[in-house]
Amino acid sequence: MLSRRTWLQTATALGASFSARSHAVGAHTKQTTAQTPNSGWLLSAADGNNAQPHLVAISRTTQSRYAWPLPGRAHDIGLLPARPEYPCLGYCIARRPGTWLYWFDLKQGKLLARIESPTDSHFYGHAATNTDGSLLYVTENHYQTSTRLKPRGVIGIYETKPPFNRVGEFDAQGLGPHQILFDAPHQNLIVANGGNITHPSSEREVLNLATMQPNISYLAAETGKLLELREPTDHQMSLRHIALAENGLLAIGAQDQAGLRDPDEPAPLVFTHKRGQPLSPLPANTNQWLAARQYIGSMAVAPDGSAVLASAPRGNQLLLWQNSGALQVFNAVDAAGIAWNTQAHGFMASNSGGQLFNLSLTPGAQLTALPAAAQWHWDNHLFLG
Amino acid sequence: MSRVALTLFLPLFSLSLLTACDKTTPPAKSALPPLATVQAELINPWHQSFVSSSTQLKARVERFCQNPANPGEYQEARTAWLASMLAWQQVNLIKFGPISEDNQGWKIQFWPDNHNLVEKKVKALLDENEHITEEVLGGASVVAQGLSAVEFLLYDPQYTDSAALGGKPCDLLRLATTRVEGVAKGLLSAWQQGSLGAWQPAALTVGSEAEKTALLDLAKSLVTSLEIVKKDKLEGPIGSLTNPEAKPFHSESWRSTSGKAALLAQLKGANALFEQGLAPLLKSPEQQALKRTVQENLSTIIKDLEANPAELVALANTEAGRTLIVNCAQLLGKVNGLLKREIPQSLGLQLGFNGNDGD
Repeated sequence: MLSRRTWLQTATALGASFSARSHAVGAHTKQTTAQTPNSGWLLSAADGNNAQPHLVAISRTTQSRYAWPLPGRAHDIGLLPARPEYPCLGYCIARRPGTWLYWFDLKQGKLLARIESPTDSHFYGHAATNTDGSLLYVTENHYQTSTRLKPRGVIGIYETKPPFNRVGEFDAQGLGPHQILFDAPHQNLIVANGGNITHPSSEREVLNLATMQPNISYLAAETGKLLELREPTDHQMSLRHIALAENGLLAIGAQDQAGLRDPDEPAPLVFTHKRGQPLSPLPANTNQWLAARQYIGSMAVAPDGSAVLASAPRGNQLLLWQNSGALQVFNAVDAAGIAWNTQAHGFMASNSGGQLFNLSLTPGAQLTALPAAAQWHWDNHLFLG
Repeated sequence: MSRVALTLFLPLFSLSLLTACDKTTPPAKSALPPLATVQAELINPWHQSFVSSSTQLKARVERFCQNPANPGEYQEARTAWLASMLAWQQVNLIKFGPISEDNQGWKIQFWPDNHNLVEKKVKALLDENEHITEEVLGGASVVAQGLSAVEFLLYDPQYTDSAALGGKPCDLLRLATTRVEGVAKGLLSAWQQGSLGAWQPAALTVGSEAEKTALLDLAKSLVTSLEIVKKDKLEGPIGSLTNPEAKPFHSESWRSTSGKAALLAQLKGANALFEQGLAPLLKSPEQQALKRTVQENLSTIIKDLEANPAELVALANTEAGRTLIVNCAQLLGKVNGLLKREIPQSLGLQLGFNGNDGD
C-alpha cells in the first residue's frame, strides 16, 4: 500500500492541483514554464465537461500541464525516447476509423504537426516507436472503395522529425491490426491483429464475424519478416490490446465478437504468451469471466512480469493477476485506462468519470481513488512516461 | 345547445364533477418530481404487471399440463406466455437496481441466441434426466430456466403436437414458469423494499444528489436498451444495415413470431421513460429541439412498424421489409446518438464511454 506521503504527493500532482485550475477550451493551456523532462508525464485522451475531445498531458513532477482540443476522440498517446533535438516529442492518434495523427512537443508546449493516413486508409489508433525514437510504426487499415471485404492490415512506418513523412510499410500479417509494441531487446514488433474487417462506409460494423482470424504476430522491425504468429483457439476472440514485460511475457486482452455465448462456458478474455509457446489463458472462474462482459479495454504489466492488469470497463472492473495466481477483481466504474506506475510500484487507472486510481500490489493489493479531476473524462488508454 | 358545444362541454363537466366529489383522486402528475413519477408510474407498475402475468402463465401451464392434448388449454398457455413476455420487455428496460445483480435477466430471457443454445440446453436437460425436479432445474443452465425455454417448448415446430409435451416437458414447463414467477416477485419485492440506492421516492427531489444519480441510471439504461433494440432486435433479422439479408433465426422470439410485438413493447416503454424521465428536464430552446427529434423519430418508428402487419421474420424475407427495418434502425441510430451525446451534455450528465463505446 502506498505511504501517506507518497499518496499525498501523487494526489497533489495528479488530482488536487490539476482540478483546482481553470481550463481554457479551444486553446492549449500551460500553467508554468518549468523544465519538462521526458519522464513523469501522464498522458491520455479525455473529454472535457463540454464533451470536447482533448489530448491531456500532466506532469507528475512539475506543475506543467497541457490540454489540446482534438477533432475527435483519440486513442493511443505516447512519448518517444528523448533525443537532443526532440527531448519530449509525442504522438496522438485518432480512434478508428480516424485518419489523423498529431505530433506534439511537451518541451515547447505545442502541437507540431497533423498528418493524415494515406488515401483509402485509416488509422487503427495505436503506434510504437523504435529504440532510438527515429521511427514510428502505426497500425493502419488499407481498404478499397469498390469492395468492403478486401482490406489490408498494414504497419505504416513514419519518420519522427518534420515533415513526419511516411517512409515505408509492412504487412501486419492479419486484418484489423490494433495495438502494436516494440520489443526493444529483440528489435521486434508485436502486433495484435484483431481479425475484424471494417470499412468507413459502415463505420465500426464488423463485416467478417464468421470468418475473422485474429492473431498475435511477431515481426522483425527492420524487415517486417514474420517471426511467429499465434492464433486464439476461438476465431471470434478479437485480440486487440497487449502489454509487454521486460522478461518477454506478453499480456493480451480480447474483445469477444461471438455475440451472447453459453453462460456456462464463457470464453477467457485475457491471455499471456511467451515466444515459442501457445497462448495461455489466465485463470478466472465462470462468473468472473461473465462479469467482464466479453470486453477488455486495455492491458498493463509489471516490468518483471509478476503482475498483469486488465481493464474491463463494461463490467466496471479491473482484473489483476499476480505471480500467475488467482484473479483479484477491483470495482471501478467505466475504468479503461491503465498503466504501470514506476513511482508507486503499482498500477494507475483512469475512468470516464474523471477519476484516477492507484492500485498497489501485494501484500494486500488495494485500489485507492485519487482526488477526482472531474473536468476530464478519461478515454480508453493511459500513458505514464 | 349545438351538438359540437355539447361534445366539448361534457368532458369538462365530467372532470369538474370528479374533482369536486372524488376525495381519492391521485395527485396530479406535476405533484411528483420527474424521476419519482417514473418510479411510481412506470417502474413499479411494470414490475407488478410482470408478476401478475407470470402468475397467470404458471396457472395456465398447470391447467394445460393436466391435459396436454386439449387445444384450448394449449392456446391459453401460449397466450399467457406472450403476455408474460411482453410484460418482461418493459421490465427489461430497467437496467439498474435488482435486475443488474447476478445476471437476473438471463433467468427470464436468454437472447440473442445466435447459437441456438436454448434448444440445446432444454433438450439436453430433458434427455439427460429421468425426472425434472426443482433441484435438477435449479442446477441446470439459466438458459433452460426462463421464458425462452418455455417458448421453445410451447412453440417449437418439433412440439406442434401438444400432447407430446406431457411428461417431462410439462414438468419442465411447470418448474420454469414457477421460477419465472419467483424472479418476477423478487424483482418487485426489491423495488418495494426500497433498498435501491438513489431510487428512494422521498429522496428523488428536484436538484438532489439522488436525482442526479437516478437520472444517470435512467439515461444509461435508455441508451443500453435502445442500442439493443437497434443492433439486435432490428438489425439481427437482417444481419447488417449496409448489406441486409434474411437471418430469420436471429429474430427475437422467432418461434412464436412475436418479435415485433416485443420490439414495439420496448420502444413504447422506452418512449414512456423518455417522456416522463428526461423530457421534462429539457426546457431551453436547444433542448426542446433535441426532445422533438427524439419524440418524432420514436413516433415514426413505432408508427411505421405498426402500419405493416408482417412479423419481423417475414419483413426480413422481403426487400421492402428489409428497407423498412433499415430505415427504422437508422432513425433509431439518430435517437441513440442524441441520447448518448447531445442530451446528456445539455443536462450536464456524463454517461461514460469506455464500456459502451470502447475499442
